[in-house]
Amino acid sequence: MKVRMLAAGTLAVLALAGTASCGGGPAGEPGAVTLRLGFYAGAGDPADTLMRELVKEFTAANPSIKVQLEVAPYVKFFERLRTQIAGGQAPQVWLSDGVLVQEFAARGALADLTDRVRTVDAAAYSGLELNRDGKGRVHGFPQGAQTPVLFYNKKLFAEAGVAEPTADWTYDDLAAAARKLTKDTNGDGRPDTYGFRAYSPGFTESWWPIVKAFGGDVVTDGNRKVAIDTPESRAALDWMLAAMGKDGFAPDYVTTESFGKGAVHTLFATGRVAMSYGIYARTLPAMSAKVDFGVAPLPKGPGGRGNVAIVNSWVVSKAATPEQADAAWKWITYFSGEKPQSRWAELGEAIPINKKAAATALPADRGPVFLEALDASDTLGTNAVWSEYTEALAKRVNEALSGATPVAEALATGQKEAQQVIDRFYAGQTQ
Amino acid sequence: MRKTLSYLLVLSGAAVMLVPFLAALGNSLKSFAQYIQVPPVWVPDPVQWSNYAEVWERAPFGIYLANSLVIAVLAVIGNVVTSATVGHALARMRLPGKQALLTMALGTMMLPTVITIVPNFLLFRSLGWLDTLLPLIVPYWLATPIGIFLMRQTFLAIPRDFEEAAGLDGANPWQVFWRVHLPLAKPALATLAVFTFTTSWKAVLEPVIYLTSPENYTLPVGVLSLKGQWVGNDQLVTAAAMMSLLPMLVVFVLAQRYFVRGTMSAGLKG
Repeated sequence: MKVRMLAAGTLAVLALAGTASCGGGPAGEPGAVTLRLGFYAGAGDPADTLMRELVKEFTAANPSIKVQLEVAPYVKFFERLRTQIAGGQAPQVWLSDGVLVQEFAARGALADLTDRVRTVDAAAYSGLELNRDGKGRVHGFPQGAQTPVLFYNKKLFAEAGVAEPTADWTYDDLAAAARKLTKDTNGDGRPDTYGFRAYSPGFTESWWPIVKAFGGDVVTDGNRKVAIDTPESRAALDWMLAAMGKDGFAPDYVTTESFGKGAVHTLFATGRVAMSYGIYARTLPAMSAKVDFGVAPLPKGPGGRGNVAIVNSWVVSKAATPEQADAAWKWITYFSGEKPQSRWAELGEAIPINKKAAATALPADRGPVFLEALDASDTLGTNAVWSEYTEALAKRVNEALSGATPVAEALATGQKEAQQVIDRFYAGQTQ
Repeated sequence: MRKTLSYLLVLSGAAVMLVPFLAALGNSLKSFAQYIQVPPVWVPDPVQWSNYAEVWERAPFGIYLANSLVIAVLAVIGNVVTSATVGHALARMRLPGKQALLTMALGTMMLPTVITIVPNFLLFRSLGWLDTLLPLIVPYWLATPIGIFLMRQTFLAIPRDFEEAAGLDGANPWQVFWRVHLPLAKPALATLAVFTFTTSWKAVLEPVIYLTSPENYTLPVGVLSLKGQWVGNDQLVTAAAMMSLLPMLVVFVLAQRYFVRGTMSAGLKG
């Protein structure tokens, strides 16, 4: 009897578990369309809350469109998305990390937005061109932009009596100031405060712009040819090695790595470094930790400032029906409007891609520096195998920066291995 | 003297094992600024109890808890019932090719989950089970390799005399299984139940892939969903993780006696 009751109870709960579904389906009303919209954010984060508000406003203005949100934190979002794409179950529109747009597009997951993008006033938005592939096609529409600039701690500068960075700074000026800002306050022979954070596992705020500033390059020819093995790139890495070694104004590779990938970006927020390259979103931890900070343009090197940018973008699934694709485009144009962009800018997460919103919504002391950097930026070498080739390359560059491999050898090997990754994918392809 | 030394050793071992737990507890009560402080501080100052309240405000943790409980309880029932049945058949019944079947079942243990996730996704999609709790429950009702192995070993260790005696008393094979073998296998069943509960409770990859609606999230997915991209919310994530530990701790304490006996006897063969 007990067994039967248990079995019956179990079946009932199983049936309930099976019906606890919220899967997508037709909206039910004639002419109505259901759109699954994916984006990444922490639950209850201001970005999560605002996105839900914007979606509510959008659907109120477009009653025939029903939006189902699929939200997850960054890493988990893309983990799930890749499986969904493989299983033909991707959302119809989602927010993609800018560096992954071409990866998804090359695997046939994304709708070509080139014709739709032609219908908008290109002069009103930043970052449109950064999404164009080698054939001139566009698969993503910018949502928000990130570009590194020089963050500096005003309090530490004042305490050390060092003049704050200016737009004229060169790498020599940066090094001179960083030396003065490096302090060993407890006399244990190791600095407690470093002048500059040179190495980071995230190369966007580390060796990539420095290599470019020294006149080197990472990839050329439509981002299909790895070209980092040059005297200029070697000079850039030598400068970084000196900063972490003989000059001692930056924490070395081991010290930086020991903080972990996430914590490295809090070095500036915790006052362990007086200067650091940081993208726009790094203002958030700095403000959370109540750091009095300013931003300045990246210093000039022989090759310029080496500005690079990532444009996170809305993409539309190739599997979307024409009605869903139209609804997705409607959402994209709504989100790119001045009002939603201004509200998004208030979060402090990204540079608005709507130029009107950017001109008014960004803080007056930081906005112009970021906008100027964005205007001068190149892509971060995006192509269909960005994740793989940059991983191969970064592995060797990091070996050089850790002192495990001579710079020349690491760059030569890194270039060869990264090129192999690219060639393997594009072999026999014309696109 | 020897006893004191043993206690000292055990206590110092326990103290070492407690360090990460205490560090996590401390971190769960810090502000963000204190959480990222270098060098780290062990004792939060001030103690931020509000982190725990904020976790509940940010996400419907009651729903996540209920989902996790439904999944874990049904997974335990399913795995215990089916693994015991299959394990018994492999240990006690004459089946052609049963060794090959066992080898194949154990072989599937060698496959990492990431290898099977896409085929499983396609399967569950075709069954219409995506964004339901079924993909996280039903596989446990098909017996798991570790469960089959554990129960088979347990049933092999029971002397044949018992079933022969039961047979003389007129018991059929089902009655032998139900009235003789299963009661003797209680420690192993408890072990399997605890293993299944913890595996199901802390699963992350599958729930993240299969569940898209927050109302279907499990507790670990809910904990992870607090992780912000730019400001880590690590203190909140840690507070949520501490809370999610509690049910697992309760289950372990309740089944501890059987669990220890079960793990000790799992490798024995009669």
